Formats: sequence, C-alpha cells, structure tokens
Amino acid sequence: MAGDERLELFERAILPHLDAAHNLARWLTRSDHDAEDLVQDSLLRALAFFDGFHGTDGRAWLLAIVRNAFYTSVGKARGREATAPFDEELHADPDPAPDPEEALMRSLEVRDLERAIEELPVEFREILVLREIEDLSYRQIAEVAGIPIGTVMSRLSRARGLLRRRLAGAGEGGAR
Amino acid sequence: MTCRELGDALPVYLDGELPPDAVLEVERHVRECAACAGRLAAERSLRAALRDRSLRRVAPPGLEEKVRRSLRAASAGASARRAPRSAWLPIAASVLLTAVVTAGLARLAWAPSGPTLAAEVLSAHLRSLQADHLTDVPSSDRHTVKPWFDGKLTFSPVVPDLSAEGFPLEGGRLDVLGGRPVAALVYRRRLHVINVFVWPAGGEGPAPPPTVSEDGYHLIPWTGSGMAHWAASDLDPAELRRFVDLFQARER
Repeated sequence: MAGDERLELFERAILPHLDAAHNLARWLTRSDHDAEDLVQDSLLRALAFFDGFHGTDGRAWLLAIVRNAFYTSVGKARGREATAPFDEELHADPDPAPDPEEALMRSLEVRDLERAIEELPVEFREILVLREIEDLSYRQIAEVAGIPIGTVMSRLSRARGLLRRRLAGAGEGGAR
Repeated sequence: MTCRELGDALPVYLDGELPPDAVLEVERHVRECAACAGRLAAERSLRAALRDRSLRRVAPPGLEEKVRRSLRAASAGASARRAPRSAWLPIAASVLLTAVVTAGLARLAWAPSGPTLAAEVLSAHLRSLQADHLTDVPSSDRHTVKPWFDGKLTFSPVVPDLSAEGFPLEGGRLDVLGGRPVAALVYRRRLHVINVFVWPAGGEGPAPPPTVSEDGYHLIPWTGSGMAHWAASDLDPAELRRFVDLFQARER
C-alpha cells in the first residue's frame, strides 16, 4: 500500500483516539511534559506497527501501545535491577465494601480526587482510569492491559477500596 | 440474593457488566433492602464524582498538530525509500540536515520536499541522544540485547561484541525509520555515542555514498548479511570507519 494511503488510513483509524492516549499517558506519567513525550513516541510506534492492526477497536489498540511504551520507559529508568512482580495482595483492602456514611462524598473536591488517584499504585491507577475516566469495558481493559478479565475486576475492586479510604481521610482533613 | 451477594454484584452492576437476569435480582434486592440501597447510593456517588470532565486529560492544544507533522515525516521517509531516484539526493539531504540540526530537533519537523533516508537517520540519532531515549534495553551483553528484539521485530540483528577494540555495547532500542520499525544498536567510543540502525535490506534504490557528513555528524551506510545498516555518530569519520570495518568483520 502506498505510504500516503497508509498514513491516511492510520490518521482516520487511530488519530481520533489522541485524547484517550493523552489521558492515559497523563495519568500514568503524572507529568504534562512526560505525557506529551509518551504520546508522541507512542503514535510513531503505532504508525510503525500499523500493519499489525487488524481489529476495529483503534482506541484499545493505541492505549495498549501507550501503556507498553510507558512501562518500557519506566523499566529503563529503573535500570537493570529486577523489579518485584506486582503483588496484588500487598495492596489489598480486605473489605472493600463502602461504609455508607463515609462514602457519601457529596462535597468532594476534584483536587482531592486527582491527588487520591495519582497516589494509587500505578497498576491500580491505570485500571481505574481506564474504567472510570475512559469508560472502557472489562473486556477492553483486559485487552489494553494484557490481563485476564477476572484480574481487571479484582484490581478495580481494590483500586476503588483504596481510593475510598484515601478520600475518607482527605474529607476528615487528612486524618487517617 | 443475599446482601453479601449483592455486595459482590454491585460494582459489576454499576459497570454495566452484569447479565440481565442478575440485573433484575440486584434491582429487586435494593428495592427491598434499605442497607443495600445505601451501599448502592455510596457506590454511585464515588462514580459520579469520577465522571467530572476535568479528570479526563485531553490532549493540550498544539499536540495534535505536532503529532501529525511527525507522522507525516515518518511516512514520507518510507515513500522516499521506495522511490530510488530520490533516495540519495545529496544536495537536498544537506539542506535538510542543516535545518534539522540547527532546529535543535527534538521531534521530526520536515521541510515540505520530504526527508531522505540519511536525514531521517540523523534525526533518529539526535532524538536518541535526549535523556532517557538512548536504549530500551540497557545492557553491555549482546546475549541480552540480541534476543530482546525477538517478538518485537520480524528480524534478528547481529550484535557484535567490540568491547575489546574499545567500542563497548551500550544496549539496544526499537526505533522508527521510514514509518517502519528498525533495530538500533548503541555503542560507545569514549564519550561518543554510535547508533547502528539495522533492518532487512531490499528496495533501497541506488547505492548510497560511502559517508554522509553534516555539521559534525557522520553517517556510514552498508549492507551485510542481508541487512541494511547505517552507523551514525559525531565520532570522527576515520574512527567511525574503523568501527564499521570491525562490525562488518564480526558479521561474516
């Protein structure tokens, strides 16, 4: 296929998801500058690998590339030290069920929400962002993150539990 | 449905992922159980808060245009490579390389006439010199670097060990030239970085000149073992030529 044709197809199929890519990049990197870098790199990689895109869900495909590019760069920053595989249990909230009084957060500031989400361990943060902010289905999240749907659900549950606990603390003026 | 079962089903219900019969059970239970109705309201309030539009960080103004420009440049590189006649215009290359270097280029920003492969290689080399962009797999061990490319590229580059000759391996990186993924092998000579870009040979058109030089950077292309190579560095051309000779000797 001619280069121009390929680029046009790419722009039509993938570029509409630029906002989604930037959103995920921003929540992963927690920096405006790094998010832009990550988005630029990811779009170039996506163009390079476009021949491998056979599906119809351009957004999930692009988000998977953004995510992989992020974790690759994080791996570089950590050097060659082995990083312990993410331990789900370590961050477990044993009872994620909300306490109705604590959780009715009508007067919640967006800034508190932002901070609480940013403080989540990245493996929880990315799942929460994809579900709550990007509105992906479990199946799409599983595809983006490369994990089984069951893991998506359990991480969501733990992420929400952690978030609720942090927000409850924030609501009480930082008391924990 | 028990209250405990409802507790498990609630988030899935609110995520819209429950099958229809379970949805009915949830709604029936919540109508009859005040405590669980409260839990539903609590879950809902958190989600409502998270739906605040300012939490969705859309691309800032200007990013889309920057992205479009760099995509166009990458894609134009591919077209230039497929048109053998325009592949090695030395004058055009010189003009573009100057523009690229003087722009202190961080992202691909190309003149309308389209980049040549040499200009793209230099740009990729410069881009890699930015902090954090040099290697994806930082390792001086070729037995780590070479297999790292498996599964990421459809070809496996030869990664010679030239540390005894004073050109230690720094690592490897996936890069993009002409809109196609290529391997970048990173070596060092004292304080100089050498990038060797590798991809399967074929379709490059007429043979390139033995060296392309611009503004203190030198590029040496060659074909070996069925692969196209471009070495790029600010190392002086004689030393870079020596590096290439050593590399080629190891490849055989």
